[in-house]
Amino acid sequence: MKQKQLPSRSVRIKLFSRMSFYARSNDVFWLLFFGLLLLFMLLWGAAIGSYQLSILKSWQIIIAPELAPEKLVRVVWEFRLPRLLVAALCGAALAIAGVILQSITRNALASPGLIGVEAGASATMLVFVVIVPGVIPVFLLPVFAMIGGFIVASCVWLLSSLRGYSPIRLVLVGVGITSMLSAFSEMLITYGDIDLVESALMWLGGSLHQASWPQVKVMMFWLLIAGSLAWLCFRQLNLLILGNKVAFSRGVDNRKAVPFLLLLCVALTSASVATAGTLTFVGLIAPHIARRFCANRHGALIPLSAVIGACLVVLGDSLGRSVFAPLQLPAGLVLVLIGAPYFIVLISRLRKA
Amino acid sequence: MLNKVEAHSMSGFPVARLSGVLLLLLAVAIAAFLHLSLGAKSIDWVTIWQALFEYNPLDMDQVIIRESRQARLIVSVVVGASLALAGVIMQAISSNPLADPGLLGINSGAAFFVVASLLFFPMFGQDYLPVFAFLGAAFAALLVILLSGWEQGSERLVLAGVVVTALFSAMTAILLLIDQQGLEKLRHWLTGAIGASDLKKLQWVYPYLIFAIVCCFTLVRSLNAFHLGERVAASLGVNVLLLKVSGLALVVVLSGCVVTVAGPIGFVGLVVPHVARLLVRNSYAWLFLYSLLIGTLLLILSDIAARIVLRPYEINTGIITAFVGAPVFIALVLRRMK
Amino acid sequence: MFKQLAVVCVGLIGFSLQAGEVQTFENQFGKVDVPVTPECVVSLHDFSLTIQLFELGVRPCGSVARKRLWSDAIFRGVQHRFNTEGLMYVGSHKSPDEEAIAVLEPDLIVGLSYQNKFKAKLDQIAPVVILATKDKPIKEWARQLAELTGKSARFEDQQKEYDWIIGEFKRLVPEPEKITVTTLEIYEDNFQLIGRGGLDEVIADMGLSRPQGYLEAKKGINYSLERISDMDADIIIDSYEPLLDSREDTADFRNSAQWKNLFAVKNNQFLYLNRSRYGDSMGGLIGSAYLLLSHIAERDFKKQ
Repeated sequence: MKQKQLPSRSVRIKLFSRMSFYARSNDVFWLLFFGLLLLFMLLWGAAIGSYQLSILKSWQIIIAPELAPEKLVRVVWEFRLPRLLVAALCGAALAIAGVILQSITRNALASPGLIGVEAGASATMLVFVVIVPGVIPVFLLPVFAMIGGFIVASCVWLLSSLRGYSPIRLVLVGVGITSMLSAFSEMLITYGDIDLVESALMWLGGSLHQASWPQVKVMMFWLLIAGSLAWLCFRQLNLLILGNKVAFSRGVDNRKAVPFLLLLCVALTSASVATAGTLTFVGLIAPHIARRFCANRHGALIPLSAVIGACLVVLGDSLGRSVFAPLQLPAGLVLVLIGAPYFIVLISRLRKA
Repeated sequence: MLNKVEAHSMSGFPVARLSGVLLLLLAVAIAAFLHLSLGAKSIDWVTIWQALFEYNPLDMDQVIIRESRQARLIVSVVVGASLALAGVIMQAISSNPLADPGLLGINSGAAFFVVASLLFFPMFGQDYLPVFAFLGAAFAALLVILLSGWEQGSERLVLAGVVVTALFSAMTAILLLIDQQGLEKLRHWLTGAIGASDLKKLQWVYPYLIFAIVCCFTLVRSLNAFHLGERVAASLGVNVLLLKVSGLALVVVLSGCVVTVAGPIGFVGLVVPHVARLLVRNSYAWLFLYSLLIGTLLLILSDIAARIVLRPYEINTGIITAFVGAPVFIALVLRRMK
Repeated sequence: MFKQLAVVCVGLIGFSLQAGEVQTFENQFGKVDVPVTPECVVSLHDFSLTIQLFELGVRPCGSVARKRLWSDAIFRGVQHRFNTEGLMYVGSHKSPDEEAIAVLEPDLIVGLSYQNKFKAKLDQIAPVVILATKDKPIKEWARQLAELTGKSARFEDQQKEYDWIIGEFKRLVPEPEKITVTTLEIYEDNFQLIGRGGLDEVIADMGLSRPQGYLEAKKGINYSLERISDMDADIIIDSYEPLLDSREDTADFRNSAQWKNLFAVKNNQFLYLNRSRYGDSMGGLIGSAYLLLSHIAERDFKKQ
């Protein structure tokens, strides 16, 4: 992939007294740029809605809540902030999962939803909401959804690696199982009580409507653990993308590395799905956007995708919340609308280049 | 060399293939009878015979058969045949054994355009629905080609299809959320529902369908040549580009018609060509004929299953075909991909 | 001097109690402290709560509604009877917009049992009362709503009218249990057993009975149209939604021999109502009761 060759001096970053590593100043610049963009979007998201605030005002309310009127504090802190933070965290998690999956399968069209996690989590959630409502208390539903996602992903993995690992097979088997689970979900949606179904559709479209502070904490926990583990594997990912043989010659055994990375991918995806429903496109688009800035250097690609993914979901949620207010559109669906055309243009340009 | 092959096929009467066709026809007839007899109420075969040939309008059972089940049977037959043909052509021109109008987003595109036209352009009247479906199917096909580059190989095409399907499903879902009254009405149709009222819709599309099916058979020669390889086909005088474009157009028309009548039903176009190829090879004329019959059989059986599996619920046929087709898809992937 | 001070103090305390008078409301969803006469009530369900509020003479300041593409939000069952100017749209009943509700600064929010999950968030804006509408009869939750808004007198009037109609019916029809009624909704390819506007409650109160097929069937399932003959009764009541062209879509079925063969249809005892005409409220109960009174007791009614 051609890219403008900017003068890339390496910058030495010191962490603690002994550890330091080298990073391209290019990458650091873009990371900071998108980080600031994310901050700005969070403030913008906190500002728009039925209570219109200026960005400055929302900044003041976040920094110094004691000084602001109670009404506005409530609006920003109880309604908007948890939602924005969950959006950002889920976006980051899904973006990292997308990077991992695209690199493991060496396929630019792979997204975390393909391995069946999302379909598994959705199906589990639907079963417990529509078929046997009330059996599971509401706060445990995300846990069950996660378990469902894990089970489905492991089935896909087992099926596709019966005769040796093949990235193509993994993805295609995932597509098949996802179709089956989608049919199952659709069956539940069509025959369920229309009341329960409408709320299922909202959830399936990636809805952050029920976001709350406990969810922020849970998501942050998953993102920090699985996300940092993924980041630490950046060297393995750099090599895996060059092919099995090359990676093996440099000491990366793909039979051990791939399942582990896949596990991280599944953990991140199912945590995000259990919290916010399906947000498929983030895992597909965010890595592509990030790659335009830092190619396949995973040391920078992972954090950059995370930040871009966070921006995208925050954008999608804020737009979904405000465009047709007070009618709420789920973030996942808005994302598909804005992301897909861009993605199609991007991919077709890539192929021509 | 070629003369020898032609001479050989002309001398032997295709007994095996013809008998296969007759067996399939018999199977279809039996399935059709089953279809008419099973359902919310089981009706015995004598009554069915009477309903079809000695109709007595006062017998309620016969009325049920005439009025609702017969219509549903006809729709199933037509849908099964069209989807099977679309699948054969799709797999032929893309040289991809995993191609299917449902997996490649063509059905979702057509469905989205139909939903959008019902909500945005209600003034056009229902006769124009097939046209919108064709536009949607064509648009989706173009997107898939754009994303995958056509020749790239199995997985890229399928993945591109997944992306396009997700796109159109999401857009449809958003429309239904904004127009909440529409959701109640279209919910069933969107998962591939075959019902007696679809016979009415069939009347809008049957001219297109007949035209498309006839055109399929005119492509037989070119497809036979294309099967030997692109270069060979070109050297035999086949315009490859024209073949691909007209094949795609036929797939668009066939899928669009099916979506208009019964909503998006997938996997039939995937499964049927493979089953047909187990029975017949090397000649697209026979392949078409076998696929027509097998597709019809498959859909009639799926419709029966849809109605009796979860009594008293009636599941949508599209869901049954997905449950049957997805494992077949996975088995194909595991067998073929190395 | 102390005495005067005491009097002033008592007066002040009494005054402050009156200004922000609060009562405790309790039902199976818990205890809530609500104002005695709320000024701005937000309703989270248009088809039952909003209609009932209007009937009680309380003008809610906000309500959820159904949305049609490009058109304004539709407050079902309310718009054709009451002046809804100033009623603010706050989202769909599945996901009401908390911010839109907060902008209105309500002092009471009422919702239904499946909206209990919003209570935690909405509690921060105003006291939230959840009423059980699914399992309890309309009269019960309407009474609770009247108590909440201080309009019990108006509710008693409605209850009185309803009781009179039931009494009239029982007077004119000596053996109501010999009459069978089916309430359903027919769609293009299937039907469901639903009774709108409190019809099911009225039928139970009047002592009417149901056909055998109806009793064996379940609510909420889409049955195939082939089973329609199982639901044949002395009188069949169906409803259509004017926004959805369901009348046109189902016209073919109503021309079919299967339909025309039904007892109720043969004897012109088939009623086809506009679904939004009667909401799930006391007014709906009264309307449905008058309907049944008129069609069964006040004409030459044929039984099977």
